[in-house]
Formats: sequence, structure tokens, C-alpha cells
Amino acid sequence: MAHDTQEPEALLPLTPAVYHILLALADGERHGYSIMREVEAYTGGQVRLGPTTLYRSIKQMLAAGLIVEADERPDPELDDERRRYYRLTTFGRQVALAETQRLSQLLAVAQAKRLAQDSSIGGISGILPGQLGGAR
Amino acid sequence: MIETTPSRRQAGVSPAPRIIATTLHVYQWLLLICPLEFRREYGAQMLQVARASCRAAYKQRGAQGVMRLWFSMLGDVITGASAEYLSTIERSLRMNRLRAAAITVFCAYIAFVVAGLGFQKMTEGVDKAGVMQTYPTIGGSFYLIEAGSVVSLLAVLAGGLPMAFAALRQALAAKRWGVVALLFVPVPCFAILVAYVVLVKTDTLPKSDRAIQLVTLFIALAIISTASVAIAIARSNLSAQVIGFVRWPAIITALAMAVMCVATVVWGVSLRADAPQWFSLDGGGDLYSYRIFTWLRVVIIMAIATLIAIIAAVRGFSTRTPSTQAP
Repeated sequence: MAHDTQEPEALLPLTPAVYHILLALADGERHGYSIMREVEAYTGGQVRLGPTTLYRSIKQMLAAGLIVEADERPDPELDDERRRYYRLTTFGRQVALAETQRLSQLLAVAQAKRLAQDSSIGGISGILPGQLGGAR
Repeated sequence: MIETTPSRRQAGVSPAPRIIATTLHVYQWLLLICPLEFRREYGAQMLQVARASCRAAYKQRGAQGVMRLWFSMLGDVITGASAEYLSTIERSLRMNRLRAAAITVFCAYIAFVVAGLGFQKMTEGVDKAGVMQTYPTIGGSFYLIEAGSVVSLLAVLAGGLPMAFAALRQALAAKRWGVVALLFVPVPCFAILVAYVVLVKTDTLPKSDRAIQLVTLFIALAIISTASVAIAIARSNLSAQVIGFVRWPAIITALAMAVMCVATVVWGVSLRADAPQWFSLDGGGDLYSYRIFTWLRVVIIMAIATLIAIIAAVRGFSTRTPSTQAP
């Protein structure tokens, strides 16, 4: 696979949708709708990934080796339809870390230029919606 | 249309309200604007997500909540489908560029080999007379050419065989007999060459101009074989992995060709300086005896082939394969 020899930094910057999916999968494997709900939850409803955007990103992430398909099984909380689950690969986790570091550096610059509050949750939320929002 | 399992009803869950059913029906039609390959792979899952979103919206805000989803879903499908079409076109262009680079390097290599065989023939007398052993520059450059020919042949086999096998497997599976036939053209070409050599050995053919006939036949068959294989590869829809892999063998082949080309120049210049009697113009009328002209022809063909191969290999190498693209 191409990612075996690839540096995580080579894939940066990630699109907002891809970064959101990586964040949503950081806790464990999820299916498409679960990823969508998780993103919506942690952004307080500011970011909604549409189904086409979600699966276009998933397709690209599978090709880049950031995620893999875990298996197909029903979600007991939703219905008895079988759903495909996805989980992060080690490379995907490295890419997520690299992107987080890149964003942290940006945040530090913004703070130094008084464009963001101190590195509190409020400060982060002050800068990230521009980057994280509009996940296309 | 995309088929999904009608499992809700089977599981005893109440049927979806009419607004959800209508929304999903419209959404299914809307998905038809997405590229077919993408729809086949993810259409059913997208419909699952849309259904779950509609149910959640209905639960929260009733029919109004579902209707509010329409705008975001419409925008999502239109922008997503457009982006997917664009990336498909971009991917296809990149793949074509990689494939063209591989085919160009292969054709340049065959032209180089044809010239190299002419060179090998002209060195026979020089080798027999022990000139290579006497003069280290002449001998060294000749051994460099031999080493380069082995490296380049291995690189071409390493890059070309997976492509040829993938193209053959794909053509057989799709019953594309034209592509299969094109891939096998080198076999009868080789048989014709062998038959000609046998006829020459058994003195069946008239003795006049045998060498010119053989060279002409060899070049013609090499062109036909190379063109056939190149067309077959160009007509095959090879995977990004197979085409992406060929970049390294292409670069190695081009570098080996460059080394051999320089070594051939050094060989000729050294021979002219150290043993000019072997580089004379008065060879007695035999095709291979006018060594300076033969050597010049060989060097010119090798230089042109090498230049083409280097340009193609660099262009191919600088093209990112779709799988290594940033998402």
C-alpha cells in the first residue's frame, strides 16, 4: 500500500470533513450515521456532514489507508439493518495527530496575534469553527 | 435505483410516515446524478444515513424537520456529485499520464535495444581481436554497457510483466479478445524471426543481402510487437497500484539507458583514439564494416531513445498515483 512508505505530513492539510471523521473514529469504530451524529454532537450542531460528503470522504480515506472497514453488522440502537463499520488505522491516527499539531501551531500564531483567546476551550472554539465548519 | 433491505417492517417496527417515505424516494432519484461507480459502492449506505437522519428530524420537529433536511440534502448531493465527477476525471487524467509514461519508456527501450544489437554486432570483431582486453577504457565502457543492459532488462521485466499480466487477466475476464490478440503478437513475430534465421542457416534463401534483410525484418517485427503491446496496455483499465508501481522500473530503465548511451560514446571515442584501424571507413563493403557510420547511427538512436525515456520517466515519476493523494 502507498501509505506504508508515506509520511503522515504528506497528506496535510486535511479537508475539514476528513479531519472530523478521524476525530469521530478516534474513540473506536463507527458506522456512517454514527460518525455523522458524533460530529454533530461535539460541534454542538454547527457541523453536519451530508451523506454524499461523508461517503466521498470515507472513500478517499479508505484509498489513503487512513481507515479500514471493520465489519458489517446491525446497530442495536437504530434498527436491524446491517451497517458497515469503519475504524482508524495506525497511519490514520498518525495523520490525525499530525493535523492536530498543525492546527495547534496555527492556533498559537493566532493567539500571538491576538486573534484568539488563551488556549482554553473558549479560545479553541473561537478559531476552529472557521476551519471545522462547512465540512465539504 | 438502489436496493436496501426492507428489514424495518419485518422487524415489527412501525412504517415510516409518508413525508419520510416521499423524501427517501426523492433522495433515491437524486442519487442518480452521482457517478455510477460511487453510487454502486456507497448508494445503499447513503440511503441508510438519509433514512436515519429523516427519522431523527421527524422525531424532533415532525414533518417540518424533515422538510428542512431537503435543502441540505439537495446541496450535499449536488456538490458531492460534482466533486466526485471532477475527481474521477482528474484521476483518469493522472492514470493516463502514468500509463503513457510507462508505454513511452517501453517503446524507447525497444528502440534502444534494436540499436544496441547493431552495436553488439559491430563489436564482435573488436572483441575477437582482443582490443577490449588491451585497452581498459574500451573494455571498461563495454562492460558498463553489458551491465546496463542486464539492469535495464530486469527493470523492464519487473515493470512490464505485472502490467502485461494484469492487462491479460482483465482482457480474458472481460472477453476482450482483441486485447488478448495484441498482447500475443510478439509470439508469432519471434517465430517469424526464428524461421528466417533457420532458413538462412540451411541455405534455403538466396545469399544476397541477407544481413540487410535480417536487420530490416528484425526492426519491422520489433516495431510491430512493441506497438501491439503498447496499444493493448493503452486499451486496458489497469489499477492505480499496478501503474503506480511501474514508475520505479521506468526511472531505473531510463538511468540505465543513459549510462549505456554515455558508455557507447566513450567506447567509440576510445576505439578511435587507441585502435583507429578498427574504426576505419574501408571495411570492404560489408554492412558492419563501416564502423564509424554504424557507431554514429547507434549513438544517435540511443541518445534520442534515452532522452525520450528520461522525459517520460520523470513525467511519470512526478505524477502522483490516485491512492497517494491527500484526501
